[in-house]
Amino acid sequence: MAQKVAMPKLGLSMEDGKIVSWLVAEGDVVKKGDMIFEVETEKLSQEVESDYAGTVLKILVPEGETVDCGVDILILGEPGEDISGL
Amino acid sequence: MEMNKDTMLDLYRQMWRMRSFEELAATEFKAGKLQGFVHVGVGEEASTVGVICQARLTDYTTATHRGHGVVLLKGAEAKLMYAELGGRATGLCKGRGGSMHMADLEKGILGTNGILGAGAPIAMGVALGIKYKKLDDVVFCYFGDGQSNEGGIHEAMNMAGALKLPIIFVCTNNQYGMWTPLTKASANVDLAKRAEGYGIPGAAVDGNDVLAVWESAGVAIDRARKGEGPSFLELKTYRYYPHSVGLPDPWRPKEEIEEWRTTRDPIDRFGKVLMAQDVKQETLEAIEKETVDEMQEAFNWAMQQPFPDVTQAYQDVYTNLAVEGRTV
Repeated sequence: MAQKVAMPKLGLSMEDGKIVSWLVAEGDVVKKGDMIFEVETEKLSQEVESDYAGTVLKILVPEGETVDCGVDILILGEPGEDISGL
Repeated sequence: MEMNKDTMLDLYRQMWRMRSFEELAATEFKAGKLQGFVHVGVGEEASTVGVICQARLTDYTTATHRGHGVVLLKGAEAKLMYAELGGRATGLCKGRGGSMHMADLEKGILGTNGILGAGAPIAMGVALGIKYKKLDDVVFCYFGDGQSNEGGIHEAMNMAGALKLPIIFVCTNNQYGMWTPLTKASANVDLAKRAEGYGIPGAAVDGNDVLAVWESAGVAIDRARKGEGPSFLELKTYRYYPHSVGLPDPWRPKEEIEEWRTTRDPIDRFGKVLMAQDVKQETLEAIEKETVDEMQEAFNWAMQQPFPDVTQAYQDVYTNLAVEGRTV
């Protein structure tokens, strides 16, 4: 089943995060624990690991953009899965 | 060591309860549902379960900043703990304490503690009270390898030895104080050897072998109950998550984390011991799933709870409210 991945809240004061770069591309297979993107916040800059396993079906937020914590940034799932309902 | 199968299965379940609690706390922290900071002890289950699951209700324990497991397994309710982590009014400490000030005095849980090493003097005071009242309860005093170099730990271990206080000093040596490896913090990394300096017994134990931990903790507990004084257990283990959930962790080698996870995991290892004694894999998988469900249910309850009203901000802060002009 497809899984939406949101911008994580990595600390008490983090309200939003900038996607500096994607470390995966659509079609890549991701394991739990793989680094999926590089984030920059007011406090830190680091790579973020995936809490889920799956194939990258869609990247929702392009590099360079800043989104609030909790906003979906990526969809993982089975290859060819219909995600139009998400 | 002789242990019946029911007790062993219960230990396995308690290890999974701790892991499931922590995994969900980590996930929901990143989802923004929990307040403050959370330090989870995934990977350290044997070192917690093997000791604290031998405690009686009337025994006491301190816990560190990474103390959810100790609090849970000393008998606190998971749903109240999640409510506490979520800052809810019905949390274990009314949502005021959070992860690092989580206490349940009726269960003998003296509190997690954000100040490193600060549990030891507290444990010593409580142990002195137990001795004064001539009771046979004991106090568990948890700290990590990083905290082992704090002054309060040394003072407490020395004085507890001198006064023969009923304390089990439990060092969860996960080999890193935040990001600093023990090898850079101490010239002597065999922490158990320090016990000799205090004139108390010390044991270095494989902290990922729950039965070894259980056995050595049992010896220390017996000794403390008989009034023979404190002991020091060094439990060598590892944590899989960064120091605090959400922090970067680039200085621990990935291969090292992976090696501990895949070849030395305390739950996997104990599962193999159980299967060698004819416990079915399905039984173990069912236990895992039950704990995941238990924690999810507890978390869901917690998220339905109200936040404290702002007018209660000063409640429980002062014992004497008769200060002129103060209306709260």
